[in-house]
Amino acid sequence: MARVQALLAADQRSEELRYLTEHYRDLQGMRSAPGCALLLAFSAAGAMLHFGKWTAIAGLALIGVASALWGKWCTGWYERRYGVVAETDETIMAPFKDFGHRPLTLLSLYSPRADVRYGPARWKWWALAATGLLFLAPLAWFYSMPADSLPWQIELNICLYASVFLLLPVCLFEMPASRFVWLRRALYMGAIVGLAAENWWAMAHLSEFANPGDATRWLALAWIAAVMLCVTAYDHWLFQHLLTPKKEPAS
Amino acid sequence: MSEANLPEIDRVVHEPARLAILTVLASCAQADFLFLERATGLTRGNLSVQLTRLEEAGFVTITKTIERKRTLTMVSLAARGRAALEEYWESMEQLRAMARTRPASSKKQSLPGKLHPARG
Repeated sequence: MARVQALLAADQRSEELRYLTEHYRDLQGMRSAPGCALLLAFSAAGAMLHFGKWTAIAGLALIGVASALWGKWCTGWYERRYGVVAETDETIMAPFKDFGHRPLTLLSLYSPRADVRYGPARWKWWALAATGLLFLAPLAWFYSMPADSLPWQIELNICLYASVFLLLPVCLFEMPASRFVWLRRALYMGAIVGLAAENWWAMAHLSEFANPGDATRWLALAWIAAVMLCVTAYDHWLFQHLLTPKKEPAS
Repeated sequence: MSEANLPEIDRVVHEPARLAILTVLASCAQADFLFLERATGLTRGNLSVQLTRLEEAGFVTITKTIERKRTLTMVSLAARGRAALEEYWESMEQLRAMARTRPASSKKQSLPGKLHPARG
């Protein structure tokens, strides 16, 4: 019986190792957590101080640049501290193989899992950059428009869609029999539900053409930032948890 | 249950430290020495020994490059290693199935499998 228990424990550890390796990049939550925290603070301040249009654009752009610089530095930090893993094309596409590669290939490309500097996924950098622009540029454009020229639903739905776009892939991957990994999926699914609920709440409370300084609009953005902060913080914790073996395997 | 019916288990793969290394490598294109050290929990010396053993068996490929004045040791799973690992998990599945189906009276006995030395 002890042998069977040992075998099952080894089996579970193997599954956890496989999950950790396959998700090495997207479990690095500290790469995006500070950006989410900044966005949360800025949008909370926006709800109270009713920022003007250009203050909002400048603040969001600054947060974007700071997040990108932090992400680049943090990627190097993770590599110096935890090492380098090059993922395979098969790994990146894994959650979508059952659906056929189109139309979800685009979704998988934008998944932060692809380490484009090593291995066969190198060519995906351009696809990643293009899809990033595709989703983030309209958001910036919407913020730069006069308040009464665009209905608020479009902006909110873009925020929702971009967030779900980042969260959904994690809900589709195979999981090991680990309660902490199950909790991650539950958290991500909860986040999607929470964002959808927030979208409905904002629709119910915003006027047809909301002012850029409208508190509800900023609160909606703060909610998205808070949800993303929660999942990225948990990702970092899980990353460290999975990288801490109980003891050195016997040899 | 006779020992002849038991599936063969590759000793090179069956050893826990090497199994952990192969499992990690099976899930990625390649990984560096530091990641393997952190993920498997092995000491540097032990990991180095196990990697040499796996390389000798033709299960992994090790490449060393200089990056920012540091030696980056990248390890990838060779086709032979992948085949051996898949075969190992199939054998373990068979063993598990046998353990489930054997009569309750014989459950006190252990089910060791039939180990064979390294192939290759």
